[in-house]
Amino acid sequence: MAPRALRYLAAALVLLVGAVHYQQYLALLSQVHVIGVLFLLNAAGAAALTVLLLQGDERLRRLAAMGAIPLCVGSLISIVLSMGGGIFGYQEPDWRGPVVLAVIAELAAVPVLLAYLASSLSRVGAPGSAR
Amino acid sequence: MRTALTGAVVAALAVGVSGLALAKDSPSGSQGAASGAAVKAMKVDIQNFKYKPQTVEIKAGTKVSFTNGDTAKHTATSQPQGKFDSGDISKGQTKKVTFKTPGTFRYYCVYHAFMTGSVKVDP
Repeated sequence: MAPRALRYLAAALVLLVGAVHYQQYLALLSQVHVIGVLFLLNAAGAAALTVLLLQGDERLRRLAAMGAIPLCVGSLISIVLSMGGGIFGYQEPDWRGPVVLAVIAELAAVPVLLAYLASSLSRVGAPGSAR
Repeated sequence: MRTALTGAVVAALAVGVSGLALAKDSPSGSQGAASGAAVKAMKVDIQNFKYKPQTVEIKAGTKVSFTNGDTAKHTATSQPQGKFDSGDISKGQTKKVTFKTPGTFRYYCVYHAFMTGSVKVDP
């Protein structure tokens, strides 16, 4: 897949991750201590990273991709913890629709971000590469 | 006319079945010995991960209804566990617990430990 297509797909998936977190913050978790704030931070972070992935500077785009990977992995780990013993006193009793959607988006985003980073870095130093 | 009559019968059956389903949603948790006191009712709403009201004071024998207004599943479970447990309460669902023994009973949500409440049962 072309680097640009990978980048757009990555941006869309990261935006989806943030959108699900924001929707859950508004609909459910705004009153929940710690978890509510974390969901809002996730949404804000995802929105900022999406903008950075879509802007013109290649170095900033790479940085955004490198930032989006821990965001998605962190979210996945948090979901796993919440499905188990709970995190910050919060437990997910079952796989609600938004949880499933977030997991799918995060699982898809990580390899796409890695592929975009790999393709972007492989072009570093190549004749005519963007810097 | 016949279609309308069939529709009315189907609607009546649907109402009846849903009524039965609601009636089946009997108290899942109760504690203490039965008393002869008249059974009263008290409502506790669960909204935004909070029990409202957080503390209730009731007479022994009163039935407390916990209604979940959140999308997330909740419970009303005695703390420590073992005295009563509403079981899972899904969105829009109501579970009832009858408090027959005087005392103060603290409870929480097993899924969201920061959600706490208490029931003070007077003789």
